[in-house]
Amino acid sequence: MADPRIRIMRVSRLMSWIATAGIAGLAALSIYLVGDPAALERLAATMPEFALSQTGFTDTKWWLSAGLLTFTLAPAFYLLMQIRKLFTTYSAGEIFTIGASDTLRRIGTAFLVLACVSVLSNTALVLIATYDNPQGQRSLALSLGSKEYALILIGGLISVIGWVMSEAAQISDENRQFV
Amino acid sequence: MGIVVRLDVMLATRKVRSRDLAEHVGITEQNISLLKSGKVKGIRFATLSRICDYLDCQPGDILAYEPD
Repeated sequence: MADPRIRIMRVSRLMSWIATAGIAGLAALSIYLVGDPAALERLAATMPEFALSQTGFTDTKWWLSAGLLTFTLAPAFYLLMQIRKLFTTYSAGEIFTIGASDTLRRIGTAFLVLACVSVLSNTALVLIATYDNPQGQRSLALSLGSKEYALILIGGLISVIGWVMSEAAQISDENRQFV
Repeated sequence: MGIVVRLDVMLATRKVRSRDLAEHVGITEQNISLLKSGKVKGIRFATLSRICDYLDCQPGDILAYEPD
């Protein structure tokens, strides 16, 4: 049976590449959506929130949607960068280190931020779609679904594991100072 | 002061080189050096046992408590 440490390093290397691919994909998607004005409009057309709009996809709505997209994608970028950093650290054999546990905690926080952004972005999307509708036909929605619940649960879980790993790293560091 | 390591005294008394002790104990010479200078957080019983075996001494000959 393979040495667990070697297995961790091998799988982490693979996961690091997958995270890098995710970062590249997200960057490409952002450039595509913001670079081509029609792309964002096409995406908006597929969203049920924009079906409530009675004025179409105006320039202001494009700018607001682009801003919202940035607001939504920024934590996702940060999350992927931190995941990549963690797997790169693990693939270098640095497993029980303070640095790795700090990264793990940041990943947990990023998941929690993503959950909040997910709730807020949905509310903002409905607002953007309907803010210029005639009075009485504007909407304000606040939704909390299974996706947000899962993100909160994953975020909390990873944060706690990060704290546990931080303790483990300190014990490991102390053990290294024993002869 | 707390716990003081007197390994260097014992090595000199027994006329043993750090390298030979390190080889017998199974730790690096650098760790022996750290131990001599008291720059370690602790010493494992296994290490202490092998040091005492090689130097033919008691733990108290290597470690001593000195009040502050």
